[in-house]
Amino acid sequence: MPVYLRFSDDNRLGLIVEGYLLALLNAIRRSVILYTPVMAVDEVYIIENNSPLYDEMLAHRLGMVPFDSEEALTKYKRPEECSGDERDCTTKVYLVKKVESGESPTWVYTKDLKSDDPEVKPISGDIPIVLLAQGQSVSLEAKLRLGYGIEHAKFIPVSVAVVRYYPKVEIAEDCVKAAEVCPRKVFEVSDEKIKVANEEDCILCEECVKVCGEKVRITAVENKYIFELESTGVLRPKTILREAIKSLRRKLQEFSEKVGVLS
Amino acid sequence: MEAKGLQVIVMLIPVRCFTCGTPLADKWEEFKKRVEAGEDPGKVLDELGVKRYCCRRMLLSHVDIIYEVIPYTRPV
Ligand SMILES: [Zn+2]
Repeated sequence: MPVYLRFSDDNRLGLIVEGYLLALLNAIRRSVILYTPVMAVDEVYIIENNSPLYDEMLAHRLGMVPFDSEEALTKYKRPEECSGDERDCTTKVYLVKKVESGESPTWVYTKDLKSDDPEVKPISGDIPIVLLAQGQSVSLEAKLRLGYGIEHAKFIPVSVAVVRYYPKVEIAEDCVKAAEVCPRKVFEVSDEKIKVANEEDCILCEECVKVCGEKVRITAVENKYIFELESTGVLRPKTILREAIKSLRRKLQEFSEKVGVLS
Repeated sequence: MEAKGLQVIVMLIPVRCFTCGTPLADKWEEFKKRVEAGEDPGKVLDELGVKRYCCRRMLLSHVDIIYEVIPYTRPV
């Protein structure tokens, strides 16, 4: 049951998977979204805030900031192992900024956050948090922990996670119009003739069948799927897949143990 | 930037895309600067690597209301 790499870079991973059940691939895909541990701000203690944003909005913006979780996975405990402030469950970041009177309005960025743990830091230092006018200040500390996407969207490590059918595009007769209507640029025109250039990009929309009828044939290959992931930057795509499968395996283990004790 | 057409009415650029969750806020300042300098917004978005239309509308339709609010907040 082979798995091929379609593409892979810092944020994206594409696999061609053959011979696995669609239901299994979908279980992995959902585990990627819902059961991959990710570090995010969860509690914010606001000491001072007279910025234009309410405390809740400020806390919400901090919560949405993506933090690098690659190292945190080995250092911090999983959410199910933590029930509060035990060791290796949480870390903190601090934000103190004041704009003196007479100064012009100043943006507060994620680069102004000071981390307790230098390996847990925002993936970008240029995310604006709030604008402070003269005389205003914010002072707060925020607690971060690992969490699962099922709890809150800030813990979801991916912006795209899809499984789709592997397409097969056949040209029976020449039909140049297919190249014009195809939204995925599957066809290529040379010498007034079309040929299939990027078969794997086909999304089976059948737009070409609408204009060409029998001349082109679009089908899905049985038992072959394309699995695509795009990370938000908090974890590398391969780490996401590995952790998701680990979580899924743990759930199955737990289930089988529960079945085992039934008489 | 002048307010035109469909707007996502929020005070300052959201940290992530509402639909897919990609972090976008760090691209806003460059986007705004380049569009105000006269570049084509579509081209700037392509170059910033914002490719899905859910993310593109976040930047394209955003207006920073916070600059208009800030004179009315407390200068403590
Ligand atoms: Zn988006």
